[in-house]
Amino acid sequence: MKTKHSKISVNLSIMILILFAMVAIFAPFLANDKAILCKDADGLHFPVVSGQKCEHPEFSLQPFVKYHYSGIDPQNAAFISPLADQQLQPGQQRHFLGTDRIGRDVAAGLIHASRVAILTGTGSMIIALLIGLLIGLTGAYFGNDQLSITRRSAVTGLLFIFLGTFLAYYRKYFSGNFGQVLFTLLIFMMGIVLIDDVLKRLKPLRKRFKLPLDIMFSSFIEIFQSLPASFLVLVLVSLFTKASLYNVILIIGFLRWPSIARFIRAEMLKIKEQRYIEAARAIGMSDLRIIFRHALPAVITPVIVAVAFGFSSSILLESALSFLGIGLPADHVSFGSLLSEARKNYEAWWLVVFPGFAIFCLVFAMNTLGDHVSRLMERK
Amino acid sequence: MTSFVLKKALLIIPSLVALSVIVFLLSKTAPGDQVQMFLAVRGSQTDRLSYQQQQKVYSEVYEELGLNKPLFYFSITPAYFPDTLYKVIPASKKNVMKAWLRQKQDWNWIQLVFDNQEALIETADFTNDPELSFILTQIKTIHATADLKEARQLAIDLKNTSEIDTIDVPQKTRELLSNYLNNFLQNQKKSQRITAFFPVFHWQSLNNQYHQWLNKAIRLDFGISLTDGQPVNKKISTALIWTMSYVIIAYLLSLFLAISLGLNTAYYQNKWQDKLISTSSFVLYAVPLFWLGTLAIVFLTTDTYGKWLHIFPDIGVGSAYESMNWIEKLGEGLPHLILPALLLSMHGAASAIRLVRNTAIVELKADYIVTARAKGISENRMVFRHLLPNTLLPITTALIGGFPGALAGSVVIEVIFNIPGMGRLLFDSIRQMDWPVVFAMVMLLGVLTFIIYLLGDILYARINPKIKYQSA
Repeated sequence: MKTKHSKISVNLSIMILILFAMVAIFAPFLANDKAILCKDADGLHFPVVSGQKCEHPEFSLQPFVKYHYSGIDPQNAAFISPLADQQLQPGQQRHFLGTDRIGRDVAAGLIHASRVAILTGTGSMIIALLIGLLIGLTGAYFGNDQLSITRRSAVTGLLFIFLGTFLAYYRKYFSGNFGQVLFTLLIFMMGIVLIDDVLKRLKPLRKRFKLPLDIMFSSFIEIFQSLPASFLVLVLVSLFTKASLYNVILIIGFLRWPSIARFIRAEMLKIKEQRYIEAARAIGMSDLRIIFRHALPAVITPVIVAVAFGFSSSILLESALSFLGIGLPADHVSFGSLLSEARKNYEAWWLVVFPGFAIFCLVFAMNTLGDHVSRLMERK
Repeated sequence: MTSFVLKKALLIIPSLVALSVIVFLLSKTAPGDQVQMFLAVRGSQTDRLSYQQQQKVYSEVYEELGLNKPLFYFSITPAYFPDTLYKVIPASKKNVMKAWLRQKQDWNWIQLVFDNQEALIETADFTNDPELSFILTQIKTIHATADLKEARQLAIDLKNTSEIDTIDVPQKTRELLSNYLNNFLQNQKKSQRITAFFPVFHWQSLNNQYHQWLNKAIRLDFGISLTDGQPVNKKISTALIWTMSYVIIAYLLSLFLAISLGLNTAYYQNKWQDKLISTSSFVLYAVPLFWLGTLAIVFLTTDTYGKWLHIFPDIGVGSAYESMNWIEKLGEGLPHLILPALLLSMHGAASAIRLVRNTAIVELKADYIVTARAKGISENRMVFRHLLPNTLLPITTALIGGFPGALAGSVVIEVIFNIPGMGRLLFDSIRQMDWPVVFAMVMLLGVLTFIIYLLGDILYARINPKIKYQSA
């Protein structure tokens, strides 16, 4: 019942994605101020990889764009249009997509920005997928009355969680004291095992109770999803003292898992009722084995759909953040930061059109594919 | 139904408490010295004051902001860690102490060295002796160096180069100085306490920062902004009015677009109308809002690309009309809000159209539509009396779900169009590390979100009588 996509648009989307992936992987070879391959008196060099300079080449293979994304060209600073006359020295390449305020090449910036975008999407989706799969699958599989644990193991589990949180929180203070920390850890492990052993002997703690896993997880998802993501991401990002792309990826991944978990949960609720799961249970297979060997392959298709949409929304979030200039290093180049340059000078149309169109293409391709797969899924 | 609502409402309270604790503790780990910011807002000139006076002013503000209290009801720290670190002022000193603590787990030593240093500076500040003032500057540098090895090296250099015994200073100062250097350079043995890293539980008092904040927050007092000294409530309510004024326009517009175009596409399924609208809404859905906004301001609000493209007024509603009442303000600002509202509604409609279409297509095949048609009612009546009410449920869900987000204001739109709304306020407060404002906004949004979800649950039941909540 979804919008139909013609074969052309699906194929086009796949091509766009492959193109972006290629550009992302080979970004340093596509735009760099060093040659890819260079032959001089000393022999053959690969300046892009080794970082050497190549002064008097007999032969050299230059990248597609001969500028580094952070390289500044002072002669062509202050927004030089791609169509305008550029102050070029002999042998210098034209800035064929123009420059920004301080004279960085826009084409090189776009190539690097594709890499940032793909990295953000992939990284945050891996994080979101790991959390989302775990919570979505187990929550739906065990429901509210399938998982029962003893009070003893609940106490032990909480102790372990406490220890883990403690170590994570004070991790900075532990570095450099490896021996002592290891010792503390050992003592505590032993302590927990000992407590566990004592608890085993206490009758009331041997009682089992049902863990309402599904209610717990789904209300958690609901709370997480109900808070506006753009708002949350701003607050979280600003709380990190260090501005870095990896922190942003981490946070986006952490914000994106609920939508994936919800999708997987819905699918798992259907799969749970299937005969083969029942059969696997009947022959006494362990729950974990059923979940990961039998149910997991069946949720691959919905996972692809969720990841495709999640991917595009992560890219959008990251570029919105770099557009606002929050949480990312000042010299960071991404589609958003290129676009934000245009706000400083309205005449720089090339800074509005190209980066924006690049994000649009990437997001459009991802959405089309996600939509296409979900339509195939429904037809089945 | 009633018990279901009650149960949900009761669940809101622990969620809110959890949210407030998390945000409160996180905001305390954030960088920035609140006291310094506060002093800057007041315009107090502290540079000319003596060391003691500076300390006094600082500690007064520190107390006024309630920072001299423990953070939370309890704390859990490694055993060697002091539980009174919050009492240390100023923040720069605290940070250095923390950094040193990380490198040398000896709180007593750190305290001793800092006490010595302070005693020394108190007695000898504003000295006329060039040699001594050089030494004092050096010592201040040492105590601003986070890397303990570097600081130690500086101290060694100081001891070797300056001839303390030969400078003409009072005997007391000389004693303090040599005492300080000796203490600093005493044999650096790491504390060998075996239990140094064991977690220890400290019970702090009820009189703590969180408790204090919570007490005020319950009475809806969120304190004052650190950047301009205005009450947080006033800042937020002003911003809320601006945001509401364009968000409501955008909401109504996108609702109208979604229902009219969505029903249209469903009714003419696979005809040209459907293809045109569906495709364009799918394309529009992939257009980032900040691109749309930038495109609009660059091409439509200036003369740069020709007068004929200058359709909308210049951006920015500014703060020039502080003296007007809010009706005048709206009258003045409304023309500037048209473009943002238009963009926002287009963006929102892109997904809503698809939602209405998908629901309506399913509904159009339902028996009641076939019956209605067989009875021979007009197509118009069929669409508006029979089809429309049944497509309202999903669109209500979407609208209600999106409301808190809309209220938070679209940050990018407000930044691009320079509207002093909620998104802009959040953006500015975050950049200026104005935590009281950020914190209040998060809480306000949290409360609104939970309430709106509750209302949403009740509303579904009103729209669709099939839904019955069980109080299981």
